[in-house]
Amino acid sequence: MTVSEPLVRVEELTVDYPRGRRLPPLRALDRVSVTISQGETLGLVGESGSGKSTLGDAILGFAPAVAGAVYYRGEEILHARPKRRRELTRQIQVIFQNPYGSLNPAKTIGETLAEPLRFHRLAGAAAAREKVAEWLELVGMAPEAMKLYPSEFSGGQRQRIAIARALILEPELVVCDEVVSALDLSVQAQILNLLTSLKERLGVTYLFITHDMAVVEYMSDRIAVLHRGGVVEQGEASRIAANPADPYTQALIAAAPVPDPAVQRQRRRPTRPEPTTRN
Amino acid sequence: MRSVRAFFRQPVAATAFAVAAAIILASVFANVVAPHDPLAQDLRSANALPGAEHWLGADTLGRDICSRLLYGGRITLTGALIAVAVFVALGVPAGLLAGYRRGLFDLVASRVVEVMFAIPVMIIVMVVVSVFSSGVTASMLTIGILGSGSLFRVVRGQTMAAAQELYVKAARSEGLRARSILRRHILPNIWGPVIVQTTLFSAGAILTESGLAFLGFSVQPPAPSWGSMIGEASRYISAHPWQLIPPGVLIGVIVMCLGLIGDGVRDAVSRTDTVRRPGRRAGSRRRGQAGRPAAPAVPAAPAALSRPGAASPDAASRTPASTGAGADPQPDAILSVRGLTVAFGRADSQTVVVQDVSFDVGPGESVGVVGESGSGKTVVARSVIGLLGRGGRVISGQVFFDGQELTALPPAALAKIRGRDIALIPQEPTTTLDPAFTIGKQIAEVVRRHDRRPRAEVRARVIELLSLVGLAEPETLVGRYPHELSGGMAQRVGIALALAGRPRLLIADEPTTALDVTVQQQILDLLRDLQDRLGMAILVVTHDWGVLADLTERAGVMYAGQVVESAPIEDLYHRPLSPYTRALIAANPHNATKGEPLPSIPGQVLAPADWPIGCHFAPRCALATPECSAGPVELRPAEPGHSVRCLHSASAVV
Repeated sequence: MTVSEPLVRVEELTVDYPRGRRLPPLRALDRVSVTISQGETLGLVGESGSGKSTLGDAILGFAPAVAGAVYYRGEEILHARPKRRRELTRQIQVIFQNPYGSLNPAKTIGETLAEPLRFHRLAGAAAAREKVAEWLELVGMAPEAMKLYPSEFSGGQRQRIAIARALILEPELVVCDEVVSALDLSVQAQILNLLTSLKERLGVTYLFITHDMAVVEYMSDRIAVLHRGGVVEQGEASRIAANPADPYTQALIAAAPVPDPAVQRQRRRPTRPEPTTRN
Repeated sequence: MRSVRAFFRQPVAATAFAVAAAIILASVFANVVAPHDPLAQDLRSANALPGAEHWLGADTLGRDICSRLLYGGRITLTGALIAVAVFVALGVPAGLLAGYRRGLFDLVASRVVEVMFAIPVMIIVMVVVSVFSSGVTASMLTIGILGSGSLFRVVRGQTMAAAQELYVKAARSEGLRARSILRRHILPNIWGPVIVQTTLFSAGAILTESGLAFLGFSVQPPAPSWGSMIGEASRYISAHPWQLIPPGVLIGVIVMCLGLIGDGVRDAVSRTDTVRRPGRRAGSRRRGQAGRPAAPAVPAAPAALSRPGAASPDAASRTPASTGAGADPQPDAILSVRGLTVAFGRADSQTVVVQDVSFDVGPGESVGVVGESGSGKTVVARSVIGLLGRGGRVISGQVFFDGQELTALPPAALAKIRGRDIALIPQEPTTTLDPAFTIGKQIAEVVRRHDRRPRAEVRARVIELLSLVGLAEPETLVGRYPHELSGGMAQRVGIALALAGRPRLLIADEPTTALDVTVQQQILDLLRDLQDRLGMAILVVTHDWGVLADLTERAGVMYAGQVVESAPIEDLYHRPLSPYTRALIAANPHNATKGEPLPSIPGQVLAPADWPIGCHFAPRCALATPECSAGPVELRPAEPGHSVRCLHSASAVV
């Protein structure tokens, strides 16, 4: 068996966000290396400020990287020219957390979904309309939705539309940035199932970013755990969930309360917590 | 476009638009419309009052005022148009560029605008006019240039905000160039404020042109403009006061119309576009907050009357024979809610968002209310403390606290109980703390409200409260401001505030939803610990079954405004009787088998206005039969301490 080049290889990536003149820049990622193989789902899990969304942004070309490299099919894309970057948007797409912000409120669903097709000159007006209708059905919406505005849909429906927007170009890699964390449990299950079935159908690769250990374990083949800008642990999803090696991963798994009351009672720490000094 | 339709649906704005359009069109077609030549002198009718010959009278030279107004409008309005065109042509592109690209251009442009604001416009205009003396054009160009700074600032600010929106990031991820993003994604979302600014500025330009003409810095006589007509008329004000009125009123009317159009645009845009905003709370609020019932533990009393007259016929017909309404409170409970029904909206078009919710919380007990957004769980918690907000009211049912009925209390009496006996921990601690005051001041204020004590004792109590919630070094913390705290610390301060009145019941509405999981664990531990030490009862409102399992002993599950099941949480989790509860637990990824689809609930929660008369869950339920939709389904005890609102709960237990 040959070891082929992974779809994405992030090497020693460091990202600094400038914070104005007086403060030193904020280091969001510090020498992070991960790989994503074609067809797999890599879960990125961590708390706020861990850098998990920054890593997704860096692959999309949105983060101010100061060192390191991102290879896409062996090609370095961190410093790609704007023209190449625009071509890459056909292969690398993104779905955001907040379905209320990610759709332009002034445009109909049809306009929003047709835009990438028109921009990349993949379809004329009629063909685009046909393709939009097809994709709306694929994500479980009625084609009539294309005439309506985002404000007429619920969070779950908007997230379906955002999924259609990301997948309509049939990209190879989709960055899913906290895609279900604004959704209710029952809707979350619908959206996770939709992502899974689209993956089976299209063979797309996901970078699945979330703070929820249970969701990441269910969705991912492999998991990378981020903490304060660094990867503390990565490996097979089932192994990390059952047998975390890093103390931070262990703490993360122990902290999330489980829904079974009997199990949760056993997991509770003794009361009288240590005073917190964290600021 | 929706906004255009929304604009014309407003009678005032539509009328203003029609009037302004009529004035402008009449001026444009003055040669067709005007009854007389504006320059033709007819000394026989000099100073004539309005009549059949001269509709608005004639001036001292016998020229027809109406015709002069129409022709004068050409000059005044052309002047305003020049100013507005320059205003928009400079302000919009520069603002877009500065707001989107930032950097050097933004820096330079912003400084230039600041200088422009410091220039006295009228003096510059007079200098320009005396140099060029070419009538309206030069002065109006100057006004447009000097005024464009304000539009620049508005557009820049709006663009900077819009550029942060996710849909702009999404457009970038589609590969769109900056130009397309500005044109297709940013401009359509900022044109409302731009139009408002433009209408206001055009009104200002008309006034300025009139002012200049009045002073003689405009068209040369005998050509009319509105301002010069006022100027001429003012010379004969004591002899012929009428001549001032037509131009004066016309200027007033068009300026007012432009202002009203601006208002209308603002309202139309905010009505259509602003209804987004993120997340669970916004979503549920828009959908009207379906109810969240709490845990009814008492066997339902024989169907009793909801207060007649309080409920509209509509609400009454939708409210199932109120299980507990009118029933006595459970004697040993600290909080007893009976048949609580809450509606929002005006009395003639109200929407019921919580129906017939009953539950009890014993002293020191910890009870949960679990549900999805739109279930009404927050509305229930808020009704208990009388904080429903505008338009919300309890239309039937009672809330007993310690035997005292709260829904009938006057606001002042309720306010006394709130904070002292019942306290609320809010969902977003950082937004409920006032950024202008130190932590110490904010807690001290609440402490003083509950017991008036000397300053030193208040301070000691503040420090005691801060230590109670596990905050280290409370002495230094009292001097800190809210923005200096992490989310977890802010939530601890929020809890300290709630504890200031030594409440016997603590209501925690999604107390950890905004927090990271490791911080959430600390807060959950703290709440359990405080309950052990202080013996408070806690009512926890949450969507998270993990929080429920960690904090509570009993819980009610809410769906679409009703309690569908209530039981001790172990029974609820391991032997759920309601199909909704079972489906919700199954959809939890904790229980998922990898590689198999998650069991999900088809469809989505109905908006309160669409709730069926029968079982609210029936449209999404696999077990639903025609009986489920036939009429209201009651919450009934299935076994001791375990109630369910389902006709098929027996078949549910497999």
